[in-house]
Amino acid sequence: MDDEIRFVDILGVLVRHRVEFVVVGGVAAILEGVPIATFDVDVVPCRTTDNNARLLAALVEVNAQYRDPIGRRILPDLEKLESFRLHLLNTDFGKLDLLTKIGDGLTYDELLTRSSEYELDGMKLRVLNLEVIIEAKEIADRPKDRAVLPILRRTLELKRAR
Amino acid sequence: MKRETAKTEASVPEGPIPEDWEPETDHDDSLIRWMLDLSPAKRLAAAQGFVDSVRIWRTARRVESG
Repeated sequence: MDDEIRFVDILGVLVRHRVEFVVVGGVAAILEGVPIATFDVDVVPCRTTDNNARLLAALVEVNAQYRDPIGRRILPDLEKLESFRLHLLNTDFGKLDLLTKIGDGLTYDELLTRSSEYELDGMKLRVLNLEVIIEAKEIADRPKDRAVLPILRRTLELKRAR
Repeated sequence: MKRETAKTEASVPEGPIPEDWEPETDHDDSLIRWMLDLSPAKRLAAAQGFVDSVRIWRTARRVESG
């Protein structure tokens, strides 16, 4: 397994192409102050036609292709971006996962209102709030979610106590 | 004359000796507090450093002795 990942580079390509998205998952948790490790970038992009076109341009730039269990070279295109629920991609900068909804069916518009703006190396990003990350992990309830929930909750407690 | 140290020792409150003491939570709060003190950019840089380190550690090989 190749775990190379360049967090800032992946996010930078999306920002440079003016893709509208919310950062979720492990990177969102890290930006919110949780000391955990992650080996991919998870984002929920806005699903408008214009945004999909910008997203596709960004994906082409980083040579994105689907992580296929039997090794086929499957490239993203507008049709897939409009219809697929989940896009698990490899890129030149590492794994990028595009989700259409998280937690209790929260879509981009709903996540946007529950996110905060971060400025990172000159980039402005929308990052999902820690409270919502916790809710999403509680709903997903997979072993990997249960494993990380205690430190997410404790970080939230310490943040609120500040 | 009484030794000053004896007075000092007597004023130390009772409590578990450090060897038996464990924090009340299962979490390393100091690590979380350290992370929260960082700027978002530095938090991500710390995570990036960890990932990069893991890649280096994976290339490490056990050296057989003898």
